[in-house]
Amino acid sequence: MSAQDTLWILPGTYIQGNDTMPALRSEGQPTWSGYNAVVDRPENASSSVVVVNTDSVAHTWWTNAPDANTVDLPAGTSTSVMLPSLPQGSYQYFLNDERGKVLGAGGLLRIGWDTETLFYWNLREWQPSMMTLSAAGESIDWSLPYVPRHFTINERAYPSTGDDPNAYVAVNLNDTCFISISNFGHMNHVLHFHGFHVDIISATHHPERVGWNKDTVPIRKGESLTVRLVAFQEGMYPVHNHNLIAVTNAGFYPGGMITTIHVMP
Amino acid sequence: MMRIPTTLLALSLISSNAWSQMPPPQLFAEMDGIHFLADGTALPLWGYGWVADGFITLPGPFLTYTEGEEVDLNFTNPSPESHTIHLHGLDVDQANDGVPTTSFFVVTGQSTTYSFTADRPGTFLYHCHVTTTLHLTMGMYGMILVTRPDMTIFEGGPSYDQDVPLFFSDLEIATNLDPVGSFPFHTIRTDVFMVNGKADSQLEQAAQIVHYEPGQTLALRLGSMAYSRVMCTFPAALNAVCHMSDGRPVPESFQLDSLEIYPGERFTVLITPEADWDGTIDVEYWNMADGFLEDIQMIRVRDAALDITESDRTPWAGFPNPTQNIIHYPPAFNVTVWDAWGRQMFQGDLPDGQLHVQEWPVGSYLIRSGAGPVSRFVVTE
Repeated sequence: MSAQDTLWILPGTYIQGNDTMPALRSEGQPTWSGYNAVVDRPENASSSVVVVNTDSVAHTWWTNAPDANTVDLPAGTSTSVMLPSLPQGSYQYFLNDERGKVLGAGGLLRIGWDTETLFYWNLREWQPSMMTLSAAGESIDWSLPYVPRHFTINERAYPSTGDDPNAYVAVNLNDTCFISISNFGHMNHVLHFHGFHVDIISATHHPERVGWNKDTVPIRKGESLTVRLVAFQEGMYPVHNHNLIAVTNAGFYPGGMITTIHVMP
Repeated sequence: MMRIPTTLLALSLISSNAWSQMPPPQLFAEMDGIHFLADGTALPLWGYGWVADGFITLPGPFLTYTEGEEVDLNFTNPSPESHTIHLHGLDVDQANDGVPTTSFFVVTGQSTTYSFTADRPGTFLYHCHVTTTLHLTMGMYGMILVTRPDMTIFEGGPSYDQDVPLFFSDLEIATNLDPVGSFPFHTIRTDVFMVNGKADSQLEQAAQIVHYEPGQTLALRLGSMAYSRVMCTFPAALNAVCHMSDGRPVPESFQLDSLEIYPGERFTVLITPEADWDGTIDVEYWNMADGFLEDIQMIRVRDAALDITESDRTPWAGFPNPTQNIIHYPPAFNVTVWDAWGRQMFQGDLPDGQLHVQEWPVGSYLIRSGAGPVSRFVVTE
């Protein structure tokens, strides 16, 4: 669990394969690690978080929670941001300006979870040329075809997803685990679970799907959801994006948005 | 469109004991097939086929099982590369999951058996999981249907009369023409958009039209292996209701006028079309990366009776109608009988006017003598 009282907006360099990209992160410490922080809060209780914007330009803060307010984050300042009282579920916070979105600052906002078997998947895709433009202060022409080169879970691409204990779901037989999933990218994604169906227990964009039991789960642009998985059988089972361009690293298969459900005896 | 008559499903269940003692059909994989586009362009195709047929198809053979069936799916690979079968959505164990790194490759010349219990009814898919991006783009996929003998879509769920598989997929012509040259895979952008492997004018062919009898409920088995996000639009006259997704009942069924289907998703939608309706389910294919509309295909849905011209409706009555065993006509020659979907059931003479139908599936039939008028009769249980 991450009480996370302060977030630092940090510029840095992100490397995937042979691509080096200018990037932004919303980190839990003042030094660059390359990973966005998760913020945990109790349900039905308002709270706050201090956001330190170390970037050279102003940003705006937003969450995809209902009735969320935009908060200005002037460059080089610290701002106390109020987090609304929310029901249990998964949400996201992010920088709601083009530079912040394109360069990749934003993380999971988990509300009301207090369990050891809790994982999270921050989904995002990356187009280096677009990031270079944005970092240089250029506007993005969104009418052009979008061809991302990298697809990640928690800023890692397969096989590195196996090194992340939050992305790699290691549980014991008959455990029940929960996974917070949020799409921070510029396109819709869809995850297919091998070996299991999962229960959708929260969803920001399609709450009518809460209660559905699925093996293939769309996560739309900007959407957050929570799924419950009952590990009823042993073994190693992939979870991957079923848009098959997204299981590549710069075009190489396998890569990208692939992780594993590992159920141990 | 491919359909499974009610009674055939029932017969397959009745004969399940005998069936279980027979070697199950074998699928094979090949990489030397040809797929013809609507304009006649021939594209190289990789895919699956029945060993008994000796050729591969797009999509691969439609696999049907009965709920509770213990399945041994035999697969052989004579092709030059390794392949597998991933049973998408059936939640099989790791050994049978068809992922080469966690299960096993089926290398050239090797045969294997995938074993699982078809323990839940619903719509599922299968596909190769070797270099998945390339092998699926080349056509290595198909649909699996698990049904219940009582023709309900799940235990306690609504009943229906016919299954109508509608399998969405797409391909990139450049990849199929030059698979090796298709790298890098993240730039694949499909340009042929299909329903059951057909597109454009191919979907207007009689065999692709979804015919129905007034009052019938059809179970549309919708599944996608496309790169695109698929959006289906259901006209109000179809009375479409969604009951299942990914092989599970949805908590509350819901009426729908449109439905989006992401890659790998499946839905079961029941339609009860109004009589005399003739229209289309429009299928939009939206690019997943930039959200551009790529294409629209149309699935024709048509009252079967509309395929009979008015002059052909002149009564040529048989009795009793409905019937269970024999229907009597005046002595007639060069008689042809079709079922409601245009499949020929009988061709020959009826010198005594007696048509024996006791082994025929329950349903509606059309009968014609020579070039004379067409008459309809119904076979009941």
